Amino acid sequence: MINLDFKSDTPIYEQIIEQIKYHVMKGNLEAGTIIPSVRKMALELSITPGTVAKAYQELERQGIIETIRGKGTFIALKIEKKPDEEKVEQISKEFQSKIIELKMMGYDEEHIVELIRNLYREMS
Amino acid sequence: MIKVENVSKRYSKIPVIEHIYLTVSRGEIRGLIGNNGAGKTTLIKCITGIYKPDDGSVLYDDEKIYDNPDVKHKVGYVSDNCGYLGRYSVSGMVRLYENYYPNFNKEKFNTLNEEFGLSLKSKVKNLSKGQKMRLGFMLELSKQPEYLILDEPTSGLDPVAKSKFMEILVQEVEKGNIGVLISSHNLGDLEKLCDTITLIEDGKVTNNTNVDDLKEQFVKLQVVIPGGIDSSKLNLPNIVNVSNVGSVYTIIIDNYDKMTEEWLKSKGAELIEVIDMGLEELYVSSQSRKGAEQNEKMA
Repeated sequence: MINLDFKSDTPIYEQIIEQIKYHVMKGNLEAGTIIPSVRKMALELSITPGTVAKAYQELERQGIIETIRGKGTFIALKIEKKPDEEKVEQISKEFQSKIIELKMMGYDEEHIVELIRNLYREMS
Repeated sequence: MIKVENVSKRYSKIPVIEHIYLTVSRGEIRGLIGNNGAGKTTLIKCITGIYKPDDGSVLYDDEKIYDNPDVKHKVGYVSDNCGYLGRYSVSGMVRLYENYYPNFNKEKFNTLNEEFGLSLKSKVKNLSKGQKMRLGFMLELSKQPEYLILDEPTSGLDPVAKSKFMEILVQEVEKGNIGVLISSHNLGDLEKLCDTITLIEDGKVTNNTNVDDLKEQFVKLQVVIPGGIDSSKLNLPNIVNVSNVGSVYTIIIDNYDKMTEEWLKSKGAELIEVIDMGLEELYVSSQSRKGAEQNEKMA
């Protein structure tokens, strides 16, 4: 389910967060699905349990997963979609720099919007 | 919680372990790492109450373990040689355990054995090292312990049995909230299992820490220094290890910071890249630095 890139600049725990979110968005992981416990996931991915725990804590804080003691960790039944302003600002900045790069390669507004629209459709 | 406080043990006046401190909480897996002869097994024998420490104390939830059967009932221990009674059969060992341990759960043993597949009729003396280890692990887990002490559990196991062993261990730790102390030379395995590790060298604890912290403390860099540089010039005290292929240098650094980065740049470093490093590599390189320091002192 999760494929880590150890050479990437993105920290391992962020890669886990991102990939679980991706699977939730694609509908591969439906609400209520049990996901492996911290220790089991660590074994599977060959990383330390602490790293998995960090990712799970963040996912739990964002309301994407829920842990019920004695039962395990699940994809949350109801994922509340609320914008985190700080995060939105950070993403806007990332968009900004990507748009500059695309413009420098000759993409115009229409092309850029189309590119993003296609990517968005691929994900849902 | 297991509390090891200031434990020392001497064999005929020669100290083997000195002033050891460590703790293991319920639900925690702590790894014990050290070279051959560092004192791991001696420490484990003190922790399991087989040896009486010369100084200090080993407490389980504030109770002494030495000469205390009540505490020993809740502690599982798989030794490195699994010296069980050779003339007994596997089922004989199960009966023996049933008699001795009030919480022994035979059904649990049978469920575990579905995974590990030992023949109940085999005599213990005819089992291989890996099979004895499986037997020990199953027997001790079936005692439904609160704490589990494992001395080199994976050393005789084939790859399939090893991954089963780790899976079952993890499952049992989560289910029973067991506190585990595990010694091993296979640091790759420990990395996947442990929350915390204790490093011992020459009978003393040199590091008692969280695995992630340790991995954050040491950083492996890939650095390009055009034209090359004599490795001996890369001599900051926090540089643990340097190796190079042509002008590409691999450097392991203790506490990498901005200053070190600037310093490397002043030596002509151009492309500085952080690469992922396993626990094993980290341990081996920190040991080789010590070896080099000792050689210098002797010269």
